[in-house]
Amino acid sequence: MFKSYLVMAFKVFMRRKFFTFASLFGICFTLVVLMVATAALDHILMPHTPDVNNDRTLLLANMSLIGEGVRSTSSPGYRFLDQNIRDLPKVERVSIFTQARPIKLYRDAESLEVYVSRTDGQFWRILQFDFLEGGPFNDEDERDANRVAVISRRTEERLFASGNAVGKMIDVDRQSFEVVGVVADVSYLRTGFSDIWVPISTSQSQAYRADFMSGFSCLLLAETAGDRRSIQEELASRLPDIELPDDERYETLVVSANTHFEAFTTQFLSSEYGEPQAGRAGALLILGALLFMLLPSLNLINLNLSRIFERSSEIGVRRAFGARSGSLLVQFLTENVLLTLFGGLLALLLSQWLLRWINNADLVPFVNLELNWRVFGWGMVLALIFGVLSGVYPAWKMSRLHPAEALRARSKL
Amino acid sequence: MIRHILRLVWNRKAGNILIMAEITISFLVVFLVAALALFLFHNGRQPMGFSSEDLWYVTIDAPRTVGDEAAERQELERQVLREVASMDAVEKVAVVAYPPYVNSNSIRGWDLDGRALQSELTYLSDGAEEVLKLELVSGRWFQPGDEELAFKPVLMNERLAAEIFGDEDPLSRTFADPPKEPREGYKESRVIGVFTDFRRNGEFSSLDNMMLLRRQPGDPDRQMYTVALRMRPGTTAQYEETVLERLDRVAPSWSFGIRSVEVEREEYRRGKILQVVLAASLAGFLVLMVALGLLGVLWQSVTLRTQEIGLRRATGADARQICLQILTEIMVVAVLALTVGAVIAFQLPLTGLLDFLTPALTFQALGVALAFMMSLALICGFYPSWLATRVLPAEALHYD
Repeated sequence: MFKSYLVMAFKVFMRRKFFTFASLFGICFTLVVLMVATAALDHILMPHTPDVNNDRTLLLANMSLIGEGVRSTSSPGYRFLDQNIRDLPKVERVSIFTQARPIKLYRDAESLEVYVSRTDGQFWRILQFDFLEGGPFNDEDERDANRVAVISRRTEERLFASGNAVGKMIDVDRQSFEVVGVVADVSYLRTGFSDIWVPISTSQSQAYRADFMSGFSCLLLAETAGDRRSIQEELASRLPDIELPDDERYETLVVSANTHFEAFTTQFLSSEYGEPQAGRAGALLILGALLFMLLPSLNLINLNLSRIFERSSEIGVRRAFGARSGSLLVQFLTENVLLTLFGGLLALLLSQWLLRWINNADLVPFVNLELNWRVFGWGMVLALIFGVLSGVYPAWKMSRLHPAEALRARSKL
Repeated sequence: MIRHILRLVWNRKAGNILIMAEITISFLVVFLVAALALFLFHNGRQPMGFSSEDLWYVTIDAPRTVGDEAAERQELERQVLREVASMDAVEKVAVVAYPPYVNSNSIRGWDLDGRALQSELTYLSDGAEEVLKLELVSGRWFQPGDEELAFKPVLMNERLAAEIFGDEDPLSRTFADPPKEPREGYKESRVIGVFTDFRRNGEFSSLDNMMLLRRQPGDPDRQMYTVALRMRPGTTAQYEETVLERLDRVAPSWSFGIRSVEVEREEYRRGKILQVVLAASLAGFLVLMVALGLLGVLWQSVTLRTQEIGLRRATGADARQICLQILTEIMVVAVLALTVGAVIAFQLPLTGLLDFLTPALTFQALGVALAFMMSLALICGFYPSWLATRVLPAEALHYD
């Protein structure tokens, strides 16, 4: 029976080609946009190299000091992190590092802009970089302030035409560093992004060690994903006891350790003091996708509805011979879902092409979006939702047609 | 005739409501894109108020200091400024707390006779107006010795001055209530000058209030993180390295960065234009999809109404009248849908989500979107109505 539905559907699609084209155009466009958005979200949110453990990590990137009528927000300082974070229970590893900062390297007549991040040894244990040559530096390098650096492949290509950068020297902030490792490029949107990584302790001044506020980020690796909640609570309970600098002006300290998703959402949904808004963000994402699908769905519903009468003879005959409206509903819904799935496949090809174009055109620097099986799966789920969403009402309308009416309507055509 | 057509539309209300919904939503999409594009276009025509050409700035990455170390830092700040000023390619140098295109800012809000007022502010050292090439409208700039004044000197852009003082002369006026418990050394703020503007984020940024406060040399509360340099015309990017090298010798424990404002401006412009192009192409595809759908629906409905049309032809209506009837039907649906859309569009500024939507902008965008959607409905209706005129009465009635 299902096979006859398929044959029927195909015949209907071929009968009025303009309608099939109009429907497919709408479906394809909608799904291309949704798939590109999905690819972007997957790229930002799901575990990818280097933060493959991002279901177990917490990031501390913001700190607020609040007093009567004043509020000062910045990144946490080294002293605060060093003194208060390392001994949190259920934490497997702690890494303190600076967010990548652009600097310029001058070679001959041109200047290159590269990003530099200062990190400790644990950084390379929590984040799993893809090493092409050499390896990371470790805690001893950080302790002894060894002048060693890890660079990205892009940087290697720009600085050393011949490749094989390990063992060669590079100048950063007018200090010479020996390259010990080369890693595959990291996306700008991922934790750990940079072009060059060097030990924190190689900074020219050690003054950062005394800073309570500003300059650093901290990544925690929890023992299990579930432990993160209790770590967040423990951190929150410790904050009131921490002695604040300039305690005449400031009374309250707000620092939150965020999961990857929470950190992502706080960038867009600024709440008072940057508290995470994961629930709201998830709801907004789903609402946004549904809102975006509203117009294409309406369009498809209108197209399908207007074709009811075209099908009325078929409906009349089937009903006259005893088909239940339920089975008619399933048949029409199948047709629509089939069309959207076909459109989904088409959209997949188109998005593949579009993503390649976006990557090549460098619309978002240092970002390489791609379709993977996960995105493909999501795309097909979206196509299915879209198919059902836009098919249910017309199919219901069609299946409710009275057989006598339907047969009479045929004569009018 | 309109009554008759309204009745026709009413008779097919179930289908028409869905079509109306589609037109209404498309209208809102077009409205938003038009509003965004118009917003950027209008802003782009207003002056920035400063000159980005040959303007560089140096960023200083050094810890904030207190107590004894603060004095050390002040000394180093002085040396850095002296070093930069002595360079050949540098015409003039000044401290600008928030230089153009830097992603941090400072906003001050206060209450003016029960009206909440907000303004961005930045601190400038004496002579910064020559580095940024700001334009004075009235009054004067900051000058050495201003710290001796009995009040805190403030400059405002024309927009903020007009907002606070209306048509009155803002010079020498004060504008904020003193605090309830004045701190020691509190001075009231007084306007000493009005300048055209200082739109830090360039020509596409919104027109906002801006005020300038004076940065006293060596002020411990306003430590120096950014220095703006007016370069001699024609200085190339290679000179950046010289600047950094020399600064490094003066203050080895600090790290410095250097950026060209013109380069930042170009990047910012490209980003803004990309935003509009993306929004417009997204909306374009949506509208194309809607147009195809509308055409299909109208086409189908004309096919279904062959009999009705044939009957009208038989009773003496000519092709022109038929065409007009179909077109008018479509336009009635469109006008109803657009009325609903316009009402919704007027509510949008009230939600506060789109803070750039001023009343004037809303009207303009509404006009553009209405015209666009009406022509779209006309174009989509044209082929089906032409098709309707091809119906031959004899054939149509014979069909049964």
